[in-house]
Amino acid sequence: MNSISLADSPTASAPAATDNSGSAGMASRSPRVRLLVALSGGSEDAALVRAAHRLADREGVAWRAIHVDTGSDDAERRLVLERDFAMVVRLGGDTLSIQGQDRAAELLHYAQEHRIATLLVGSPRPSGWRFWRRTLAEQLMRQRGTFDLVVVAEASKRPRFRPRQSLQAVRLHEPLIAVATTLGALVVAWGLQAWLELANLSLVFLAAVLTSAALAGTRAAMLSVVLGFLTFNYFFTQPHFSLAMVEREQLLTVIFFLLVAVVVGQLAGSGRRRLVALRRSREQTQRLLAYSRALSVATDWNQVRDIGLASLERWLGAPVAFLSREEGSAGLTIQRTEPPGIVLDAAALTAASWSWQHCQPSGLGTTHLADTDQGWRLLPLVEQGRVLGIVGLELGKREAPLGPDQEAMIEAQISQLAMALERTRLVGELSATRLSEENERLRSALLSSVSHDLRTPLASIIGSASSLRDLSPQLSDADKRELLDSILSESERLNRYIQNLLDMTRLGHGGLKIERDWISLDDLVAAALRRLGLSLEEVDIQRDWPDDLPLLFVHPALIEQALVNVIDNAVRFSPPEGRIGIQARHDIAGHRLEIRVTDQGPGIAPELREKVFDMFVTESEGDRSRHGSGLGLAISRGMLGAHGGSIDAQLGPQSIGTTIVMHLPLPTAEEGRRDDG
Amino acid sequence: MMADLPLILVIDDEPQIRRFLRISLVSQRFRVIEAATGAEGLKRAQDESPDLVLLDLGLPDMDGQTVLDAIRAHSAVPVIVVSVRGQENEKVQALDNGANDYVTKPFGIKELLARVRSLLRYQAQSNEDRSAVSYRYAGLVIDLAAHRVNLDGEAVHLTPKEYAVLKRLVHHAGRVVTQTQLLNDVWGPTHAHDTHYLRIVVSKLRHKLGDDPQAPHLLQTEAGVGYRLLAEHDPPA
Repeated sequence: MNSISLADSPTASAPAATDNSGSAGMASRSPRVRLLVALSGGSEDAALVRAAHRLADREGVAWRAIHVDTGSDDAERRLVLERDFAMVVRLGGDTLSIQGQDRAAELLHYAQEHRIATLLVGSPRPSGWRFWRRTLAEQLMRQRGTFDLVVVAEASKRPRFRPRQSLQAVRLHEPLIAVATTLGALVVAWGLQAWLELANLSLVFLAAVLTSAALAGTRAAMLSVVLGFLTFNYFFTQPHFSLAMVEREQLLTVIFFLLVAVVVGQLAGSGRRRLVALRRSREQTQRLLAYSRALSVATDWNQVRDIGLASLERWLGAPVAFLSREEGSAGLTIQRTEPPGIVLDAAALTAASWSWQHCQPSGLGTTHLADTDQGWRLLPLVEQGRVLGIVGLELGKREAPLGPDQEAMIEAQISQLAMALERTRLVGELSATRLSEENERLRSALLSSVSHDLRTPLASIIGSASSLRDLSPQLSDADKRELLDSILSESERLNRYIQNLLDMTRLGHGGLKIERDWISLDDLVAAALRRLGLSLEEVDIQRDWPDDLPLLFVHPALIEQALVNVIDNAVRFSPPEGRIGIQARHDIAGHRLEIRVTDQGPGIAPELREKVFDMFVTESEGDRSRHGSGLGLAISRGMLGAHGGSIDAQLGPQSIGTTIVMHLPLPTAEEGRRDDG
Repeated sequence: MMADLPLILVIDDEPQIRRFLRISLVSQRFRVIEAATGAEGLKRAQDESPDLVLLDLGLPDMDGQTVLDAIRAHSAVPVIVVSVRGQENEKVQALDNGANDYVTKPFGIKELLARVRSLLRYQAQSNEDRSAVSYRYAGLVIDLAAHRVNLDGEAVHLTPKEYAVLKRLVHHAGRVVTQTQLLNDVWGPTHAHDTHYLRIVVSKLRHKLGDDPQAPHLLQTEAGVGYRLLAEHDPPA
């Protein structure tokens, strides 16, 4: 397909070889670019890039595509370059654009400075005119670089991307403007004829040329020149109303007019062209900037995809679709379309599958499957050699075909979209890894704290029971009773732990059903204290709440468990004979109930007050923790949360101990009525 | 009279465990003082010079090892470490750092009492010449003074290494001796990790002393920790 001719620069191959061996060690440390491919924006570029990729792949070296921007590239070349660079990145190379006037000199300089081993350049087909110019390859060969020069000749096949010709030639307004300005100039000149000399009248026609150039460009200006020349000649030079000229002076005036008008028209026309191009590229830059800004704030895959699609649709004015392969399914599915509900026909779906498999665009305006397609172009989003998805553009629905700038714009938007999607994918994977690590950590923390919680009461039970059995003759009745009490209370504690574990499992699986019922706080606290049983013997419980507390409308067992956990916690931290206060009150509006449980224990450091409600806060302390798992408070928080309540830890009264503050929403009047009725 | 009874300091943060230990130990004619934290335990160990310390490794305020180091800094009081399974490393570290024995939670009271008595007995002996002790268990007689080992009246021939290991175990009869301690003492510090030496010698010793290698009752293996020669007065496990 492509003929690759190796042309070693004759004198430089020997030094290049020593250079290679000398820097091999360096290259292995950091992948230095050894292979450079010079792109020009011409049709031969695609073949060049592929050749460079193959060569770099075979030799296992890093490669770079370079473009010398001489400031003379037109929009078509820029478009092709855009695509070339995108292709280079897709194939694993990197890209660079440098400024300079002389392409050969700049390439030579760059290659030598960066100790490039191989330089690939294209050999474009002769471009008709300017036959006297030497091609880049010829210039480079002549200048003898310290590298191997590889010239890639383009196969005689049409380029994969054929930039569309802009259709300026058929625009009607250009001749109209030229005729109108010339007519205007004729009228003005006719009116001024009496006062102005002939030479000065030509300035009026010059003004017409300038106006044409400014309004409609070079072509219109040239037409104005011709029209002006004829009109001027016909109406104003001697003899009047004839194209013949007799006076030498007038002839000179007309000739000078012609010369000046041509030059001025050209200049003004090209000035306008630059202005238009500048405005357009500025618009594009703005749009791309806004687009990338929107993409960069999007956090997940779907958001990025939707922003990308919406932007493309708005800008193209044609339907767009995003296709991807769902997990576990074989074919492509349409994930989203903009506007929603667009359907792709079978031909477009076939083209999409082809694009997915081959990592190449297909459909309308491309070289693959273009004929079978009804108007869709399918562009693969490729990043790191992986296809992330296919973007379909229904270009057939557009009224005007795409210009080169728009093609470039699509290319840019697609590659940005691919990058943004890849970013979210990587971020997603990263956080999934983190999550599973976190899960693993939690699991081991849970196991160690659960085993501690279960073992601690068991140790007391086994110790007490074995004492009763083995030492019975030596034990007094009071001792025996104390040991039995110990066994009982520790069994109760064990039971509470098991209940907590079950509750935690249910909380974790969302299997907790709230079955509300009316209950008074007195009943709840009494039940909680009864369950805590013997462990309360060493503390002094003080209850304090008004008699007119409203009833609660809660799941009694759950709130009781929450209270049990909080009070149990307070007891376990209390010094012997410590006081534990349970206070409750409701706010004036009657919206919520506040329950405070205070202890006289060592208190909780401010920075830990929130953490005690985390599951396994004691994880780092393992078995050393007095408190075991700390599951209790976390479960209390879960249960209050399930009722729309809250729980927090605060410093105790008089800065002693801890106060656990619980809030529970009280039933509204409506809820009350509904339940009554 | 009360003051003559051995004083045991229980350092444990679980009140229920302290309670049953107190009742049980008092019923066995010990005096008991308690501490719920490492700091309190250290203070009482210093102030009241107990005859034995029961130290829980899982304390809320400080590491059990730290407590042990602090006790060892000024006292040679026997220390029994109380730990849970899964803390083998900490247990061995504690034993190597000067703890005299350990029990694993949950434990029966008899097991604990046996450890306590064995340690207190050893402590009482400490003034005598320990090399002169002898050991009896069923038909086995070990006379360290005479360098003689008899099983059912027959002399048992031991290699020097086997004898050295046995001697060390007899000195600590009833208590655990860690692998590291045995290797250090018998083979030297350079072999402190060559546990396979020890395993071979122990299996030979079991064979020669008539112990059942499948279910050893005389020379017990404490998995992951070390070995224990059953004390003379301990009932067979």
